[in-house]
Amino acid sequence: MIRLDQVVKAFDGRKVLDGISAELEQGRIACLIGPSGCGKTTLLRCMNGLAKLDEGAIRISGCEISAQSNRAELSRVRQEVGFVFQDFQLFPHMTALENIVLAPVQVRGQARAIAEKRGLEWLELVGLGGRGDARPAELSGGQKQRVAIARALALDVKVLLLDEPTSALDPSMRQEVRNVLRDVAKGGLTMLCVTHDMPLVTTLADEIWVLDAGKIVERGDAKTVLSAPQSPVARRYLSSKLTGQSPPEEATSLPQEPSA
Amino acid sequence: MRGIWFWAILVAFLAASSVASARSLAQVKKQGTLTWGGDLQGGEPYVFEDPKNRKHLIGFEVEIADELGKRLGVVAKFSQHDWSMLVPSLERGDFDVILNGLEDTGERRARIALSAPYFVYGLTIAIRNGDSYRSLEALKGHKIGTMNQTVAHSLLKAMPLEVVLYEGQQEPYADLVAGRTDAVLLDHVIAQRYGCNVKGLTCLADDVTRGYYVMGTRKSDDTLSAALNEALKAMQADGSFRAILERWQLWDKRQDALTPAAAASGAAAPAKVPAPTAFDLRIPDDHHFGAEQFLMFVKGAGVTLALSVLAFAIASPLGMILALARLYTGKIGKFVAGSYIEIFRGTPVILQLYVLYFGLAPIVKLDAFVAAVLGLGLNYAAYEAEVHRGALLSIPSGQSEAAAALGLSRWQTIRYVLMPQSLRTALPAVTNDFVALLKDSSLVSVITVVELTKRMTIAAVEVRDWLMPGLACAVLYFCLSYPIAAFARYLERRLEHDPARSSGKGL
Ligand SMILES: Nc1ncnc2c1ncn2[C@@H]1O[C@H](COP(=O)(O)OP(=O)(O)OP(=O)(O)O)[C@@H](O)[C@H]1O
Ligand SMILES: [Mg+2]
Repeated sequence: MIRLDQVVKAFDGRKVLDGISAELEQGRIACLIGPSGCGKTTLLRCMNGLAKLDEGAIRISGCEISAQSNRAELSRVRQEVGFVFQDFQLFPHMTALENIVLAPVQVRGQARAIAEKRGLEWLELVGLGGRGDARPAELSGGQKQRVAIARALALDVKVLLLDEPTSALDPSMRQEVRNVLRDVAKGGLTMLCVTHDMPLVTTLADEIWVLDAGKIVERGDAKTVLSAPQSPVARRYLSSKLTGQSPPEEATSLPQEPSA
Repeated sequence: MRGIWFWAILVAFLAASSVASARSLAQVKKQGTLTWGGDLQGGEPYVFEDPKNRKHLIGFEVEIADELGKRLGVVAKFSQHDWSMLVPSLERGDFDVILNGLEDTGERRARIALSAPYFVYGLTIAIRNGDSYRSLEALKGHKIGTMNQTVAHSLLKAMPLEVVLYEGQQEPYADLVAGRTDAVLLDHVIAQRYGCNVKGLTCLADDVTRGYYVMGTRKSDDTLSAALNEALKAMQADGSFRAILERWQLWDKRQDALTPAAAASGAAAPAKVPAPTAFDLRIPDDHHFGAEQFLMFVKGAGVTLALSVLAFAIASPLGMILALARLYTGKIGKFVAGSYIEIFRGTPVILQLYVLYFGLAPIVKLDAFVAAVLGLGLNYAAYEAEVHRGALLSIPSGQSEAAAALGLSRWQTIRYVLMPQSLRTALPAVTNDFVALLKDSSLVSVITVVELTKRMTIAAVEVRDWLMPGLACAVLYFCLSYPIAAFARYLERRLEHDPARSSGKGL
């Protein structure tokens, strides 16, 4: 379902992704962890064409992305792959329901009535039945992120990419988003979730990918990696997380400017 | 602080004007200068800048002034003023004498002291070659062009025909050639220089009527006006006056009326040309600023409003298109939009109006109102473009990324995500620009559209009062702009509290 083949991405000659290869089977959920600045967001953005890769290839949900991909190809990828942003990025001038039905109606050409009926079902699924008419500003952070998840799913995607879906939220709201993601995961989605949120990792992950300095240093079954990490990076990272002491990277992983 | 400045300026002004108004013959001689007022815009042959030496003024009135000065034993000095403001400026004491094609009218006679005539002008009709009008009578019901605040205008106003008013000498004839009017009535000095020699135009041989140019002085300066009259008479008697007029090719049969000897010795004057008269254009006593005029003002306000609304209906969407082109298109689109914006912002709107209306006339003959709407609309589009561009840029880039991540095309992103947000941001600035346009629309009077401000100046000249018409005009502008300004403030307040916006900022 997802296959990364020697993916390289450089900013100003500096390789942020340095030959990444990995695969994720259909219906599996991987959590991508690693220190701040190691390239997690960049990898995710490459996977739906928000960032252009320099070398290698990505196969995702039946689409192929390479350095040569053109706009039309990328646009097709984006319709097949859902993306959830750290800072939600709901459209503030639209209601929750309008946010959700925009792409189905405009991109897929669904009839508005049908799209709205389905949109309400999505809202129901993320626990926001009845809030369809609310504007983003009237929703809490957790509710906004749940609308954003519903919006990403409304195109009937098979793959969902999430970039730190809980990190912009108060601890009290994180749990509601974790629960929603757990419910969503039951639908057989393939998910790749970047996160520093350990409870989310334990809730979701089938497998864990550990990224460091643009390279995947460890990849394996979630339980195995959590209980017996092989790489020093993973060991250090996980121990800082589990002992509860806040590692230096946590501070910098707070909301950051989405980079173009 | 402001109060102090106000009083300081007022005192300085009063001091200056009292010094000036005390000037009379004795004062002029003591100072050694005779200051005469005129308007360089009148151009050749009156008083204008020497094309070979811009600092040097020439013209037949310059020579008359110099000669008069010489005979009074002083130096003549020119003082530049708007022609329509010459009488009020004289009264205010800005100079000693008006010497600039000032016609002898009863209205002026009542207000200032007028000298003996120094020039006879004839009102001349110009028509297009091949047209059959031979008199003013024949032109009833047609469109006739003339200049604002001239005797020709006063004459035409009383006739059942449509008068089109211009600010310059050349434009009436340009519009006649273009077919926007059927005739032009102006004095023969202007007609000969700007009209009769234009290809496709003919001037009728017979003057509609004749009148005098006179000098004007303050009524209180009786010694000065007597001295000027005497000097003029001496110049006319010894031939030096005729020499000046001949040098400027202004000497013709019309001037015979000023030299009785020549008239007597010459052949019988053609009977059908009326003798020069002092027009009695004095306004009847009941002719003051009243309800009837105010109604005309309301009409003018209607024109202003229609003009502004229509111009903005062009400016706003065009501005949005330009902003989008400047931000989101390729090199060529960016260049075209950028050039448009810089050119239209970088040149005066009045110039753009002239080009649209007069400059393009040989190619497309735009109706004056249409040209005004178009000119203002195209100009304001450049400003609106920058407003919309700023508003679009203020939207966080995450919004377009979110739209792209949903598979929306560039255009769909603009249409459904960016534009609705930027319009909200831009709305207060846009309403503000609309109020500015409402006032800028007064510029279109240069292409003969009579809107509120123009209506005001016409009425002010008519009733010889600027205060009442000015106040009425201000009240009407306020009635138009205040509701819009209030609406803008309301929008601003509402958007501030609009939850949809505060969240947009936060992200
Ligand atoms: N648009 C860009 N231009 C230049 N450098 C960039 C750009 N985007 C990211 N980078 C750099 O690439 C590196 C990887 O960034 P990325 O955002 O992928 O890290 P991350 O693993 O997501 O970190 P975090 O956990 O803090 O979110 C960083 O050093 C960052 O400075
Ligand atoms: Mg990141």
